[in-house]
Amino acid sequence: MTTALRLLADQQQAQDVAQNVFLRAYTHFEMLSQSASAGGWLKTVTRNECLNHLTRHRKRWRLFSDYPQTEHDGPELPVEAVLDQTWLDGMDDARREAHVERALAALPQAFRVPLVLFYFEDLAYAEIAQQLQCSLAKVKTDIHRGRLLLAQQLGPKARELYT
Amino acid sequence: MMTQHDHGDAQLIARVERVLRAQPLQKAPPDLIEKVYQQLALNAVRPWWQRSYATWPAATRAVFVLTSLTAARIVYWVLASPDRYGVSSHFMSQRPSWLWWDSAAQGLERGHTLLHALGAALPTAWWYVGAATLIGFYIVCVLCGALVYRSMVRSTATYEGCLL
Repeated sequence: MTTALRLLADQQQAQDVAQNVFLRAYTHFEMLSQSASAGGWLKTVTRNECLNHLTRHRKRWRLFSDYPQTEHDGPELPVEAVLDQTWLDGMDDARREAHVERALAALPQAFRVPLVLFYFEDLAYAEIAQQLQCSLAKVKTDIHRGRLLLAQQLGPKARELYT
Repeated sequence: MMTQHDHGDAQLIARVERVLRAQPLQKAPPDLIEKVYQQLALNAVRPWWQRSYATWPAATRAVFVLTSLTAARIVYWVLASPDRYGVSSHFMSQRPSWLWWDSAAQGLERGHTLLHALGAALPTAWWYVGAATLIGFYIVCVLCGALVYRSMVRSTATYEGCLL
């Protein structure tokens, strides 16, 4: 569920994907109940379902949404400026976790997905490039820009919007 | 030698890594498992013909394939060479007059005559104007749909508290 939520950034869609994964797990119950790698199977299937869902959704709603806009068009701070800011100081655990999840979900899909695959799914750059069917250089650039944007979202200016 | 920019990048990577790795797993909503069980129960009582073809009984699948092939062959036989076996003329001469295709054929014929008359009567420019109007309406409908989706559906579908 966490994987789906972070990749899709949408509660309802994540629930639908999670439900599908459980249904598929039920049909493969015989195989999974005897396998030591059942957890890995579930995670891989969830990840693939999410990526398929994103591809289908993007194709279906290309006209109606912001998907063609893969580049972030907002102001991007330089690394030094982002590092000068304090990110999560003075927040208790629950608020900090919620703030990070919101910041992650607020990233454009083109940056959020490789970032999630890298940090939460522990995939290497090459594996991400293979999964997303793009070049290694693009994955590296997207992850770098994703970090910068996330840092911006975690900074005090973004935090002011919530508090 | 590491430049100041490289040092900044390394710091950024370390800070993002620290923040993200510290994130705990999120809990699934309590009703998720209940929904899965409900769906499983629904799937279990669904008759075989409503399930995917792959799960149909083997004999049924074979009968289905054979029936489809036979139906396709008959359609091809009648349409491609109706008079080869005298089927068409025999069939057409034997058909009762009250059958639905009589009225359907008459309707089609009338429509064809009307269109033909219209085509002869209307100047060519009118056809272009008509086509342009239809395309224009289509574009307006799509744009209205996009506008409604962006303003109503999408605003509720995005993650709560979205910054961008």
